[in-house]
Amino acid sequence: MVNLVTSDNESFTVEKAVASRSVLIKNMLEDVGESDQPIPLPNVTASVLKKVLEYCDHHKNEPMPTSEDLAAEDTRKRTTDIGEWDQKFIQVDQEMLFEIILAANYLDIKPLLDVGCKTVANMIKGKTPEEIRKLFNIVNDFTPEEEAQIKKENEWAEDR
Amino acid sequence: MARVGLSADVVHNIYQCSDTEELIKISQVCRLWRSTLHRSTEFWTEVDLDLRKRDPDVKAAYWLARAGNRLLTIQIHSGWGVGDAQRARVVEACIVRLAITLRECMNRWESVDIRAYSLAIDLLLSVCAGYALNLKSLTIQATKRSPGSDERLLVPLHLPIDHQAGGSTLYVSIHGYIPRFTTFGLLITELAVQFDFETTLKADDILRMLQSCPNLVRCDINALGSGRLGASSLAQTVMHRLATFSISWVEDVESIFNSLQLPALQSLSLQQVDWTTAAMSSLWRVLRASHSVSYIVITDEDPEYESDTVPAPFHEEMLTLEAVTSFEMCGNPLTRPISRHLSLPHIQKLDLTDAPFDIVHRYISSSTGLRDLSLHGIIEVPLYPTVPLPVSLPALTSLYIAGFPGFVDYIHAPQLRSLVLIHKPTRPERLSASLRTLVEKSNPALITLGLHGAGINDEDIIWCSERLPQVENLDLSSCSISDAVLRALAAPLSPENATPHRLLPRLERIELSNNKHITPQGVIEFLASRNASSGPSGPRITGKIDFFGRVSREEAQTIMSYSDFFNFALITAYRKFKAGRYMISAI
Repeated sequence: MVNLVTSDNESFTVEKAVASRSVLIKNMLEDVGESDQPIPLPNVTASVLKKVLEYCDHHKNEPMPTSEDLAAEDTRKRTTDIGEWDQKFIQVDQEMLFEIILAANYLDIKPLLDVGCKTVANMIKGKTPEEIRKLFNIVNDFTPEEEAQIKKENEWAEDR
Repeated sequence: MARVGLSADVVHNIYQCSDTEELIKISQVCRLWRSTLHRSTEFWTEVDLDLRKRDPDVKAAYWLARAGNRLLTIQIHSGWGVGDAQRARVVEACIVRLAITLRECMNRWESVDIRAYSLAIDLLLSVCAGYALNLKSLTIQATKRSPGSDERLLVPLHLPIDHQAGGSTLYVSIHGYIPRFTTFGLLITELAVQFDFETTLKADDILRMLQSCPNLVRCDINALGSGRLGASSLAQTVMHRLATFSISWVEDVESIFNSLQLPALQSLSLQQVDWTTAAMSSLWRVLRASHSVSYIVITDEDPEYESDTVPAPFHEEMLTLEAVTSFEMCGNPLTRPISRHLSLPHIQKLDLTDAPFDIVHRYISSSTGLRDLSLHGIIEVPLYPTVPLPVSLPALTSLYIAGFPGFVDYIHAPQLRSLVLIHKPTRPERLSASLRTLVEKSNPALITLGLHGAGINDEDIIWCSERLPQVENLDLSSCSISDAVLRALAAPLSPENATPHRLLPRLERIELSNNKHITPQGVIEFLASRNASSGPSGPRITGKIDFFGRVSREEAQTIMSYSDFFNFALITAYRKFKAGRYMISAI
């Protein structure tokens, strides 16, 4: 078993197979060897880790993506298809969705990061930049001049 | 909602999951999102240019400026509209600017696909001349030919004089033109040419095209729309590397064959060829000289077409092809002299449609290595055959017979693993008898059994199931079976039986479509029994089922809880029914 401690100081004791879905934790375990020492996760809160571990537990028996898989993925576009269980799992409020994405990125859980990013990509589909900003509470930090310039640059993208 | 900052890494990942069309829009959200996209060259390697949209030349320049030094996949298309030619004149300057932009990056072309009206193609290619040494795939298709445009297309790609040929492959596909190549032809390893419009194609055009691609390994020529090619005026053309050659819709194939030598030929496919005496003689010439041919496909019009046509006189001798392991022939009577005069002693895969009985019998009698036999109809079956001894086929593992299942009476195949028999209504009685004869005489350990025909009843299936314990896949579509078969297959193990026995213990898949005596209740009891006895980790029965009678919502739900047994139409009906919008209808 592995003991994980969150940023808000909560402990989670989980099977090694579950924790090792995170490449970050897997590498740490390999580095320190057999040890009872808790592993601190300063960038993840308890509520988010609980959710992440739910994902890891469900997928614990699946093969880990190899470095070749990851390299191949980097050079090609991915589909936005999400498995049935994953779809239900990721039905959370937007704040939690972003927290899960950040945690998956930090913990290096590529399949979970993909599920999160595909969900965001699906939410973005068909929306205008302004609608996307509103949806994700993103500040428009372009100056009016920059916006005018971008609009001019991308005129070809507008339908005739 | 509280703002959560996403790192550039995560934004990059979101881009990877987004459609190409969305990229530009997303990049206008904020500076981080824009800079992430513009810094990542991999998002700009696939350039999709629609000539009907605004400023494709500007889009191309925008894309290419961000693709770094990466290799490019470029698609240019104009749709199939009738008014395209007029439009081309309106946007002529734009197409020329686009061509100039693309010419600047020809060294990074990896895949180029142009499907446009001929005027646009002519404009693009008149500018994009030069070297494209990283090209792996080139497709040019004229979707509409402008009046007066040249049907011959000179592809203006060249090779440097000092270019060293490597081992790379290049696929070129040209539709709607008679192509010509310069030194670039040396790089082409695969060529597909289709003449979509009426052309004045001549044999010399094809031979010159082949001569300009001496390193071809594979070539597909479709001459649909062309008339007679006429005799060639050229000397013999030797294609030293051409291994796979396919020709279709040629009226006088001898015009090509008589001027070609194909010493490396392995696979030959001839479709919709006019089988005149001259054509058959030229085929014999090619086959005699090509000692490596292992795969032959000859298909012609629907066999019913010209069924009373007399074949052309055939003057060649019997030809034995020692290397052929796979032979497929589907043809009208015009092709019959070919099959009648071939001997294939080492055939492994034989697929014949409407072949005469004596030819089939001769082929299978002369090859002990036959593994896969498919017969789609057998004709000229003697009414009172002198009963020949069954042919022993010790290597045969797959047998498919449609139309005359009685042919299995002539086969002894102890290694058979897959058997599919489909009856013709005119001879229903043979299916059952032939099946039993084969099972009794050959005693095969079948894994797949497919029986389609009203002549198959409950007794036949139970009889087979008792003798074929290895069967995993059972297809009983369009038979005359009832729930009695399902009850026999579902019979639970007897607890007091020390050596438990169950019919078809390895069964994993069953198809029961179009059996009007099968009921939902019978299927449910069968599935419940089989899936319960196999345990949670045992194989689950899957398959396909439909019913003639009404299926209740509960029955459909129960059956679907085991697996997706219903076809798409029924599932759709079921889902609508579940949503309370429709009543389920019997399928």
